[in-house]
Amino acid sequence: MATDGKLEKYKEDEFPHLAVTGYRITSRATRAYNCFAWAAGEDDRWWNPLEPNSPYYWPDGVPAELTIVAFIQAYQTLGYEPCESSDFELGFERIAIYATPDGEPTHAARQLPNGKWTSKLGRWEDIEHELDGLTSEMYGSVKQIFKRSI
Amino acid sequence: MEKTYKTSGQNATFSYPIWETAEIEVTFLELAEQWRRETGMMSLITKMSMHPAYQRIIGMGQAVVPLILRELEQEPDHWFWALQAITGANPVQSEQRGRLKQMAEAWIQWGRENGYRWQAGKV
Repeated sequence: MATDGKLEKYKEDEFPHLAVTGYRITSRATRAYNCFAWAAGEDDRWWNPLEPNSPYYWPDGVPAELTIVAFIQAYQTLGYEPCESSDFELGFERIAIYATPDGEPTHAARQLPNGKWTSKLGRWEDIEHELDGLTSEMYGSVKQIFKRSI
Repeated sequence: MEKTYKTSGQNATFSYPIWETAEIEVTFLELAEQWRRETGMMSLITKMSMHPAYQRIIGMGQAVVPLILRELEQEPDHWFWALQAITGANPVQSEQRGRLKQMAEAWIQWGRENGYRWQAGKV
């Protein structure tokens, strides 16, 4: 991990908007969990829709498909419902799903009480960032927002 | 000058060069490093497993299984797709799904029970 709260350059280069919109590292890199788990509030397992006989976690009863619909159902198991706005709203928690132009989910971020977003970058670090900061060739752009009351 | 290899089955209707274990290890470590560096930002196993370096590791077959198990013992990473593809096994129990350390332990135990041997830092 870089000591100035910033990602190493080769990592930052994957997300050209990050340096412009601002971000900071909030945890060390770990392979123990991914963005989909972190968005769900978990930091001890890796979520991944994968069949058959997947060794990875995916909520029971939810189709193991790489589709927005499957991710909607996955986060509905935690009480989230699709919504339109990513604006911060007191009393609600939000998750954003990034997807490729053809709708294949790539990444999830969770909104923090300060209105910014927290993301686990694959096997890399967690960061606090603006929603647009991770728009990139790798992650695509935000295609779905969920919210639940807290 | 043409490199000399040991070959399989001299009396068979076909044969292929057999790699030395040191050559397998060097190639594996190079491919593993490339895979880690180029897929670190990915959260989807399907994506990181389709990386050409990971696919080449799978293609190296049974010989890399002890090398992968050694990697899992030293620092667990997402080698489970490769192990499953090479061996056809899946020793990860339902309650262990997604829990990297437990998944690694399940595979290490499976490897020992199925005849694979390795030493830390040396295969």
